[in-house]
Amino acid sequence: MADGGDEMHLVRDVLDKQLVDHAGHDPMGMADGIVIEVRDVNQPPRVIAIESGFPVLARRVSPKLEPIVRWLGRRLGVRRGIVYRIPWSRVRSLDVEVELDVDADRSPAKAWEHWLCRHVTRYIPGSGNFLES
Amino acid sequence: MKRRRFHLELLLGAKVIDREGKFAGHIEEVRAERLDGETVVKDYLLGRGALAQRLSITGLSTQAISLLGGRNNVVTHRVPWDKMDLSDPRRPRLTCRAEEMEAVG
Amino acid sequence: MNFKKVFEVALGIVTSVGGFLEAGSIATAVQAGAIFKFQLLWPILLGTIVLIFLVEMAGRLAAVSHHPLPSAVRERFGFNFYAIVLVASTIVDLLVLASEIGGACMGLKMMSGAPLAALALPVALLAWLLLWNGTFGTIEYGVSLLGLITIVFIVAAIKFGPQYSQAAGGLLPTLPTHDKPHYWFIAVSILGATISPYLFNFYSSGAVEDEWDESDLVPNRITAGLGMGFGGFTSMAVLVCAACALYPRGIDFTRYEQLPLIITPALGMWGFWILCCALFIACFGAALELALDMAYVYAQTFGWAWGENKKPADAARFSMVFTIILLIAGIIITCGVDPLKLTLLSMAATAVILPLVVLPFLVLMNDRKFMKEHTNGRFANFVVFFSIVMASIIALVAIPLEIYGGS
Repeated sequence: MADGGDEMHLVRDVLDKQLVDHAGHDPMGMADGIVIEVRDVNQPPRVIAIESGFPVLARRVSPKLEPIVRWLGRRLGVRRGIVYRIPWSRVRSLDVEVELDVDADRSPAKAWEHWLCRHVTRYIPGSGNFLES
Repeated sequence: MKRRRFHLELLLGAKVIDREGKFAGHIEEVRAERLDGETVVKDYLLGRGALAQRLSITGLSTQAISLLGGRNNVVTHRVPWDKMDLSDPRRPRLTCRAEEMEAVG
Repeated sequence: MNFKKVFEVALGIVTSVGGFLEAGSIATAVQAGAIFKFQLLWPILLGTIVLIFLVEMAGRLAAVSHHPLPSAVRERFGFNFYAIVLVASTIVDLLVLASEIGGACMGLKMMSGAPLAALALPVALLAWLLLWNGTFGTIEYGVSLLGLITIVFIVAAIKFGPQYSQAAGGLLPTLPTHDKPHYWFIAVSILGATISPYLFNFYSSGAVEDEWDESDLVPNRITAGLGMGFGGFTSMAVLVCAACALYPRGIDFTRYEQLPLIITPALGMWGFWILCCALFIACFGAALELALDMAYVYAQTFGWAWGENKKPADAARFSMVFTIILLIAGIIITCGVDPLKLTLLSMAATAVILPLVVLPFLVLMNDRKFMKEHTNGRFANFVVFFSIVMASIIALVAIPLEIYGGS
């Protein structure tokens, strides 16, 4: 993102916004959480990452819910309950969507999408699956 | 001070008290700016509403009333980053007195 | 406006009319006409006016902010609030979807005599096949055009030759003289059936998918106004038919099998067949839209790829949502739940949760960050706000009375 001292509202402009990749504006989940690092007393806290995933959402609803969702994720999830953390340096622009300098298809954001394609939709005709036939 | 990380989304709606333990407001918004290639927190915006903000409905109730033409601005005060003590992110404290906060909007 | 736009608007109006009637609006209007003659026409009128406002707002939101409704609400109010909306609307939408599958099955059952339990899963499967293989255009236009068959209710209503002055009197709210709790229960069920949240959700997603911009604002206004307006007429016609055919004979509407009685006196035996087809198509079309809407809502809430024009492989989670939802709804009907009771209950439940869906929507529509200079006018705010809050309060009182009131 351009270094112009431009001010941003982290809640209004980032949190709960759609994440998309740079190449094809491919949806990659939502900005479910933002990680901030507190450093020295003389240095302002630094924004270091955006987080996306069900455990983050569960933690927001209730701290008690988070371990349950993580456990479910480890048992059943394709991502093994791991939260997808995108370094803040990968954020390219903030507009209607948050554009990331990441390839969606190689990121954990689409792990479920790929799993479903390999294990479910390929067996159903008419799904337009690249693995079909 | 050691480096520590906290989640901004959990800070939202948190009750902030001032140096003397007096209620100062709830955190509504965090503003950041670009500085030396990094994105750093500039200040925190506090609101005085209670339940609606805690549920992060950001004033749905007050807005429902002001819908018929009123303005909607729940933010009341601005706290620069260096005036906020986040050593315990669940209990943010001002390092100054509530009266010294700058009013906004 | 150029020719293409005029054509799109005309198509939009026709599809709105064809897609207006569904299990809920038919069942509630017939009940109202059978028990209260023309006295409950006003909730249809009020509901239609509110729906026109909401559909226009949904289109405007999509055209100006390029956000569909669910993601805009989550972004503005945060996930914790949206989670409540999501849970509530999932439960209600699932009930409504089961009602629609049930209504479609009843249409088939009356024609073929096959048992409901045997029809439910095949109907759900058919809906799923269309969603899996179809595009937004085939579903939206194809099914809605077929839905024009519901105009049969208007034809029948005219043939009945009702006392129009008396019917017009029903357009203004009056207090009931008998069955008071039931009167209010039906009134809010009608409001819930008319102001269906899935309709405007669906509409905003379609508008985002079609990449509307600010040049679509005027066509949007015309489509919403005329489409939903004429659609409301078909609903009123159903009530008038019931008022003419059932009320004088004192027949209470308790089973779908009685539905042909509201048309056969005017149109004879061919009316029976058309009615069965109309019931099937109206409910089936609504089931498609509902299943699709729930997939939209989930995908937009969690930021997954979505779009009915995408192949299922490119939006796998989106496609899984409508698959699972249709399966559950099909199972509910297979288990032998009475479709008519389910319909009436789910319509009243819709009325209860309306404020949860509509009030945040209203706040958004007044937010300049989303809407720029296209925010709502005060009149729209006023009408929508008070109708929704009133409907919800009445529903909260009327539902317990209906359940425990000995009916």
